[in-house]
Amino acid sequence: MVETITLRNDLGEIRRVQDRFESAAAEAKLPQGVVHAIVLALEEMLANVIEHAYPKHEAHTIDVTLTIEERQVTVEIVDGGAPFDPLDVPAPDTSLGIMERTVGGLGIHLVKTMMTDVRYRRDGGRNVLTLMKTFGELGE
Amino acid sequence: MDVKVEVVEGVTCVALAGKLDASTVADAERRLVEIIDGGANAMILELSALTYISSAGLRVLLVAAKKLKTKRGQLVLCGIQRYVKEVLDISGFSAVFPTAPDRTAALTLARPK
Repeated sequence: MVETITLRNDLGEIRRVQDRFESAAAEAKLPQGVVHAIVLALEEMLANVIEHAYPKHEAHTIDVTLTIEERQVTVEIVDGGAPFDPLDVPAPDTSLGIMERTVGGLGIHLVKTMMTDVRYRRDGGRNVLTLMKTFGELGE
Repeated sequence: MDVKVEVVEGVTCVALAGKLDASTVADAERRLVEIIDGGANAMILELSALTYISSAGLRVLLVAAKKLKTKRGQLVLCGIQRYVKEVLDISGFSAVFPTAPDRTAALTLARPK
């Protein structure tokens, strides 16, 4: 299954992409853990793009392509906003106590940990982020 | 996001049900801050019906815990489900937040000493 969804740069749009993925995932009978990881990755990475790639109050679109294969899910997020490589964001110090902790970088840290592979490239003035999660007998 | 509040033995128990994500965090944060500013200083968050949390949701937990700490109170989490636990573990939150399997155990941790 391959499907591209175009969304507006509005946080309320994230749920629509997640819902679409979840119904395709149910049809494909994907393992629950994989579904959860992708739903979370969609929120974290799309929220990043929506909040940071474009000046506020400017309407733009973001293309999300979902590919479900037998042992792999691939999500490609393409936006025409300011260059931003999420892989450059420093990892948060997850050992700090409550008063010292912030959540900066935590979303990307979650995604990097839960995905099999995360890649970024700048292509023709656009940010292209590819998230991959593989699974199979050895995984779930 | 469904929020239920109950006070048990001087401890404010807040049950969060549903998803703590980009679309529900603003409401959840407002409710928790209201409860804490309204006088709560020992709080249990019951998460047995919480199915999902993202970094936006983690931020709300942190805001609540910090506010409670400045009042010498604390935030105890209980009833954590599989996927919420995974996110708390990866983020390191499991190590800094007091957690308990259920409300009874959480009350022992949260009660003002």
